[in-house]
Amino acid sequence: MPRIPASLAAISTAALFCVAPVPSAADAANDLLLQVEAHCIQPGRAFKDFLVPPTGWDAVPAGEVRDHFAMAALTISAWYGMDRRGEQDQTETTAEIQKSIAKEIERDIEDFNKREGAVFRHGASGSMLVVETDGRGWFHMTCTLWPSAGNEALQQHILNRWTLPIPRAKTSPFGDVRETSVHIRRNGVPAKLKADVYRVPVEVGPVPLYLELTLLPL
Amino acid sequence: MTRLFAGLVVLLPAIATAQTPLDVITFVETHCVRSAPAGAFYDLPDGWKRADRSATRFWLPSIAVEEGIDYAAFITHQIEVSKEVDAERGWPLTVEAYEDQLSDERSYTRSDWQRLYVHRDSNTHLFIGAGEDTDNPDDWFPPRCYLWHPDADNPLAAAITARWDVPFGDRLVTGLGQATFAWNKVVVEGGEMTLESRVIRPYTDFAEGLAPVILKLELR
Repeated sequence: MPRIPASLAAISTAALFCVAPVPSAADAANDLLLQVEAHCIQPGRAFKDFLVPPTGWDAVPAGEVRDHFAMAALTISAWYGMDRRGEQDQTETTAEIQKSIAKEIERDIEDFNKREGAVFRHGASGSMLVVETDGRGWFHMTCTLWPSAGNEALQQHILNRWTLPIPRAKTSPFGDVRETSVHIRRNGVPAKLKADVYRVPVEVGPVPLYLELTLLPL
Repeated sequence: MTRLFAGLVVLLPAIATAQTPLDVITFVETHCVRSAPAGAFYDLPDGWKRADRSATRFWLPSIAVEEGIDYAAFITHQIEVSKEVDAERGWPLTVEAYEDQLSDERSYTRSDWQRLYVHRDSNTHLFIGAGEDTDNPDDWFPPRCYLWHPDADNPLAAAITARWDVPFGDRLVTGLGQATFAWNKVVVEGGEMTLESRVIRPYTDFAEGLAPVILKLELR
């Protein structure tokens, strides 16, 4: 085996780096979404395993959870506002609904603190992932992924992958949602997977879009 | 040259009216997800013709198999979680559910509120049930529509999958096939309803006439 001079090796290594394709934003979005799906869509898995962050993600320290979750809750609550708007009694003003939303956020945070869960942050992209359950293990386990506001590639990827072209879909000043349920089998366990994609106007919440994956017993 | 020109003139309208699979799907979405008198759902544009009743046995399976898959999923689960259900009896039960459904569909079809249309140029099939609980064609009854093409290699199957299916490969597999279910809130005539959409993918060798991919849209 001939020895390769160190200088030549250095040049070859540099050349390798030059030719190696730089991952595009779309590739990174695809990888991230697949990683979240692989982490969260695991019926039968022990819940403590869901609380171990996937590679490249860090658990947000307990002291910061409230701040991060408040951001998510604000967006999550858009659905609540949208629902209120859709009720028969439409006399409620937007301001009144927003007031109710504020209360709902507080309730969401309290609920999260009572439940088992964790918040992860993706180091490279700043995306957030909330994993939580109501104490029944993987049954009713929910993962909420929200890309950072500027990560349009991931937002678009979630839309392409998880939304359906619903004609006359319900929309409101508070946003819209696409709900999908799929019967699945993974790890030899049959389950129902609910995948909801929420889109929220900028004036309602700081996060324009998020994906919520819920596992349910079939 | 004149002949060539004449040929072009004949060809042009054909090109102009040629519908892509996506055109057909979007037409069905617009036609079926709305509020209208029951009779209006059977008022289809030129190009669609009502299928001959004698062909019923070839298209009923593509509608009835949905119920079979649903039931098969339920039975599969029961077998796994309960010792009370005999595994040997599980699979025949699912076929029985499918056959019951075939028989139900057959009797519904006689009521004339369920009709199959075929697209003349492409042989695409569209089944519409829009007045099952009423005798008055002016009443609105939330419709259900099934769209499919009987040929396995027709591009409509891929177009339905790309537009309405979810790209997650581990669906519950049953002996009859698999399906994706989705429920979404929609607004029809100012009121809120649920649109149930399903992409049904039966095993085509299960029964004669089964389409490989069927799209169902139903308002509830």
